[in-house]
Amino acid sequence: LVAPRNKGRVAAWHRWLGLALTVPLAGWVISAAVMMLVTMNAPNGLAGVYKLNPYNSTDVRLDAATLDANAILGKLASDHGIERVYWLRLQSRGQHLWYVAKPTPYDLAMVFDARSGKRLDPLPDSLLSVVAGEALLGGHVVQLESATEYNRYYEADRLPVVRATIGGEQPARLVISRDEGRTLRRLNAESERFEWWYRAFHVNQYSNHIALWTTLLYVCAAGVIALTVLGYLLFWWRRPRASFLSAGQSGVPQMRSRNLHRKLGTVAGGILSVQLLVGAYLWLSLGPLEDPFRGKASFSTDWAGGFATSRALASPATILNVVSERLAPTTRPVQAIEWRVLGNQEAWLVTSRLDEAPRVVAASGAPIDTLDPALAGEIAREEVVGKPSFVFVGSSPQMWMDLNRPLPAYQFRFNDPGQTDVYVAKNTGQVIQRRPWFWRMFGPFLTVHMFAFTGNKVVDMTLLATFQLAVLGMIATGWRVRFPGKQGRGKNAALTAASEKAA
Amino acid sequence: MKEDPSVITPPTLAEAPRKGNYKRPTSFSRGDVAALVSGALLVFTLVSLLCFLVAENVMRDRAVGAGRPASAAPTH
Repeated sequence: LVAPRNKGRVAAWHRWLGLALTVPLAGWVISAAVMMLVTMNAPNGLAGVYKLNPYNSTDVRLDAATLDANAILGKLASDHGIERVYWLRLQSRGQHLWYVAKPTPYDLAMVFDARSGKRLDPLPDSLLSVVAGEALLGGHVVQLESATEYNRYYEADRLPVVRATIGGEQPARLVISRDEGRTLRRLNAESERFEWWYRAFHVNQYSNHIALWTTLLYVCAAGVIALTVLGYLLFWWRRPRASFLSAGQSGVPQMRSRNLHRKLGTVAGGILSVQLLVGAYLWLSLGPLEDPFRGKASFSTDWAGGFATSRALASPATILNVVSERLAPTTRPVQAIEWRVLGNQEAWLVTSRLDEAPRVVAASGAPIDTLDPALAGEIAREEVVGKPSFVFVGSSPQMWMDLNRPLPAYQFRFNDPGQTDVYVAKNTGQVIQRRPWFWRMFGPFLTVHMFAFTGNKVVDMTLLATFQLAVLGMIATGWRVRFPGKQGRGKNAALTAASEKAA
Repeated sequence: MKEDPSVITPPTLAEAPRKGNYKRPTSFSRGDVAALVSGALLVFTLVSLLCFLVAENVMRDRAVGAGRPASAAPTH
């Protein structure tokens, strides 16, 4: 059916594709093994465990601010034409006092000096150094490096950030936004190693040019799938030789490798192809289509929540006075106050310790531990495109990177094009997670890709390691077949002639 | 007398392949058959598992979608 010349061409393509794709294929397999080993015993996975610094390095009372919140709102309206803000926060950083204004839930924040009113963002390295230095308990800044960073909470594609190397009790690297000094990501030795192997050898991303590297990645993956298809064709066509070669010629190097290559390829080649297709789907989510995957497509374009800049807010001194009886006794000053409007009432988020979630207090002085789900849903609805209808799904704690811990949250399913699940913090109405349908479909594919079938670490890792060894063996024997060495070549020539005669 | 190498002698009737005693070497070795069967089984299992997990996920997702309105939710 197929001319011998064409079979020869297929063999040549299989050979050359195999040689050419050795580096990416071995890179995917070895990096997978490294990533598996790195995360194997990591507590809290890649998020890591950190002790956050509970207090600012210098005690500064918030009522020492010479400008009150209304002055900042006035400035936002007059100097920047901003009519509404999502929230306004007064906080101490080192010896500084800042007002941070969040114009919308998805925009970069604006920072003003609480004593002079001077605009401070984008924050210079000197101020970010202060922020980074007091982020982790017992930490100090070793180095700052400017970079850009993707983040699911912001509309901007890449945020200006610094990567701060922290020394001391908890060596780490912090990714801190330049707008307000917010910690967007924390990396420890394990997560840094994971990221390096993942980016360099698993998804082959060597810069921020996703389109370029993704094209290369997918071409390589398609090449390996083609390689396996050609391999199965050769396996089928060469079946007459197979019985001859394996019958009594096992002592010859090339034939030994060829037999092993054929068997490993037959077992592992198909799984490899399936894994490549699954991996390609996963990378679509984490790479080129990350925006819709992370729920950015559900950001409302006409958000009108928060409160008007014309609103009169309570002064820091008033708030401290109202909440002082409700806070646990401490010698340290309150670290931050945030003004929000939840429903129609003004609420204050009072942070006594930076490693704990703020207490939410209504302007009346009454604590708000949980919002009514209907109200939390309405707050979230304002932030979802088209302001669609929604249903209450339940409660589910969700990870909040700012505190590196899960927060109690309501889950709502919105009827937007992405069928987005929005998780809203129970006490503040803060949207802490968006999970559209696209993301919800991610789980099964990741399970298959990670061989996490049984949930038993030993069984799953043994399966994965066996598969990885089989693929590496396939690569090694493929090379041995192509380059059998001087001694092997003579024997091979005689054997090949004999086998062809037999066939 | 020396045989002329250019002359091709046709096989005798006794040497010609006959139905029943001719064995074409087209079969796989046992090892190859085992590899092929186990490979096919593994791929089948993997693809089935993926389909099962996706289907289960879709069903669970639909069940969640049929939730209650927020106003009917408990407040704690």
